[in-house]
Amino acid sequence: MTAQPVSGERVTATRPPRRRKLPRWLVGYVFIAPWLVAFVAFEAYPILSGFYHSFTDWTATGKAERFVGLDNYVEAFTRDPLFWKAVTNTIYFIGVSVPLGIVAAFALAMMLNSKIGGTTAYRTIYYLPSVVPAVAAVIVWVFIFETRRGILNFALELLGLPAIRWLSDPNWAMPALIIMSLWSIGASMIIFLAGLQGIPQELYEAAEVDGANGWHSLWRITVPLMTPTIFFNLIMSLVAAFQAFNNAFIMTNGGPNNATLLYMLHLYNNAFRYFRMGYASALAVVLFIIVFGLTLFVYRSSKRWVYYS
Amino acid sequence: MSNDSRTLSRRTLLKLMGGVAATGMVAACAPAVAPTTSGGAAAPAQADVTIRFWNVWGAAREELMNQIIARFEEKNPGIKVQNLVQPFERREENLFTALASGDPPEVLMSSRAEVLRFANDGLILPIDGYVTANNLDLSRFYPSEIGNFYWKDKLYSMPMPTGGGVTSLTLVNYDMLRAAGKEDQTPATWTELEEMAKEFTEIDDKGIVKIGATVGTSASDFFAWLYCNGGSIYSDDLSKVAFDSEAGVQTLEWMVNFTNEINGGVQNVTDFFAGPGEATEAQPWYNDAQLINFPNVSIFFHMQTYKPDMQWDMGLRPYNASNADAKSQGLSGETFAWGYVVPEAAPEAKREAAFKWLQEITYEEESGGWFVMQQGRPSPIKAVNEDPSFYEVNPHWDKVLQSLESDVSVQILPVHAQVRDAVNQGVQAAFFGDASPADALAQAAQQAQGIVDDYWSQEG
Repeated sequence: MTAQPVSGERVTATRPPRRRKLPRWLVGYVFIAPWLVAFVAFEAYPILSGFYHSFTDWTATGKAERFVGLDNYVEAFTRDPLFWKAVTNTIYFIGVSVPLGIVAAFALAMMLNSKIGGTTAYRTIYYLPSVVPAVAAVIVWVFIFETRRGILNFALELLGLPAIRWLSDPNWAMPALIIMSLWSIGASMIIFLAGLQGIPQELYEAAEVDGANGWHSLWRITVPLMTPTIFFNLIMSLVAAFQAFNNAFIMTNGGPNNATLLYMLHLYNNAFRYFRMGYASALAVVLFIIVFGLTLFVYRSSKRWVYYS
Repeated sequence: MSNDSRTLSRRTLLKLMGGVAATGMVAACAPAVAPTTSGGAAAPAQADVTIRFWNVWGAAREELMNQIIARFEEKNPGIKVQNLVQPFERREENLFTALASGDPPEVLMSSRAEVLRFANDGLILPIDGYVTANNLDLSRFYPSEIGNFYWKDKLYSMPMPTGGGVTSLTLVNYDMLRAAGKEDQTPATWTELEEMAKEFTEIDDKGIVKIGATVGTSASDFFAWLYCNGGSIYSDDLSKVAFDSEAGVQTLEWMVNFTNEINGGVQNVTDFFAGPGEATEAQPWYNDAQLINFPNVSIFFHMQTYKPDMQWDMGLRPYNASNADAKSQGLSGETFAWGYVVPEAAPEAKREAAFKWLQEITYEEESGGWFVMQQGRPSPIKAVNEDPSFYEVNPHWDKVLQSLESDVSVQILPVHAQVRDAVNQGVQAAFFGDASPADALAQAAQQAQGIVDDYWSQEG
């Protein structure tokens, strides 16, 4: 029962409390807060920390670290006998595996985009290697590359060619790694496939009416309209290739005679085998600068060869 | 839709955040689920202390370890041990990350070089106090075995299995000798080894079909042969590298010549042993395709598994008979010497229990001793190896013990992994013909000495 106001008493209307609204921008930040917190804690902080530690002799083992200035960088460029070997190997790996991977993924996507039976099954088959664990894949590839019993050499023999010592000859170990890198082009292929399916069919029909053959259509329609996708895949492949590690670590461990010592493997050895985290951080910073510079270059150059319309 | 309908009130928002935070706290406070051990050992209903035990005793050894844990937990009802087997490939990375995280497992299996490194950086606890408090008699270990785990006069671990018996064993497949109509023999010198290897190595256009022997192509192989030629890795005071001595150059020259002349080059050897790891039945040793083998003591366990009926004998690693100072000897602790450590970051309340478990798997004959005995491999505890039952599984057990006696405990620095890799660069350069053995070693020595000098300068 509510009390009635006494006659003559001034009645004031009680308004319900006003519910304060949060600005929309703040709500947005609240919703991305879990990601933001994780990004700061697990990405931004380690990156900044890596920059800082690259100027120290940090071991991460609790031993007091000392500021060493640019000494880690000087060591990398002038005193570390494996630094330039790792850089050269990585450039070789990237220079061949990235273009080859993009061309192979593009060609595969073109084939799977054609109207042939069982394309869904083929797409699954070609994508499957991308989700196979690296260790399992490497074990399979070790068998494939075997000199005496490997199927790759068996195929060469059928063609009348001599067997190749894929993993024991320093001249062939890197090509072996590059061939193996093609194993995981499934992800790029799927992106190309999506791009190809976005090209309006009318363009091909119009070109056909104008007398264009398949070759003309490929170079005048498909490739130009696919350049945004090629650009995306190129950037992603470059970054991934710079970070290539698993195959070299498990299959060759950098050998024979350092022929497959990739940059990341060299960095890993310094960080986790020698506990030279400060030096490894400097190597990581150098890698960051290279990747950043190259990405910037590709990005700038994209204005000349990528067509968004 | 009005603009308001797309905004949240502060109250709703706070409720949502409160709910999320509460759920998070509840989840964080929930007890960790202990991994099930494959042995299915019944755990005590209520454990006061749980010891997380990281090790690499996988495959069949995991079950043996689980049995030890079950017995230990029965004896110590207040302690529960979680057997957490780590993948060997990324063991170093996991170990390092765990220690750097500040919340490492209470007991970690570590190689000798790692133990020294961690001890030097103050990451693990010295155990002298526990040893004294528990009246442990360290003389039950071979001196070379327990000696591997001292750093700056403090003890940081106890060994299991042996660090020795790694480089001094020479096994010969007598089935192959007999099938070829040859007399049973085991090479004792470099010359005898060369003769036997030449006789049994078969090479075709694709490489090696059968191998008499390989002297190896890595820095560890070089070190093993170096000690059978009167050389050493470091000077006695560990201030200088010494592997580039005359004996060192002679050793590497001999290895390169052996590999080129008898095996047709380093690529042939790599190809021949390519494929799955050493402990698989596909390896040439288990398929009568390798006459002489220089394995570590784990071979006895694998032979029981993969080829129990093989006729074989063994001796010590051949030495250079043309060098008056040389003799057969093995290296203890250069690569495979395993110990168990308690991290400095282990909570005070768990340290006693952690040491108790460390003691169980290293010092106690019925646990650590039993564990290696089940694998037919020697124990770092002398008394365990005197058990006559060893002869039932290994008729040549007396030679295993002889090899342990011949082992030299090599003093190494905490930066030894780096030094070994520098040597490896030189050894590879020599094998691949990039440099002569003398030049390759000189270059490796220069680099390794830089690493050693850096270490000592930082130590002050």
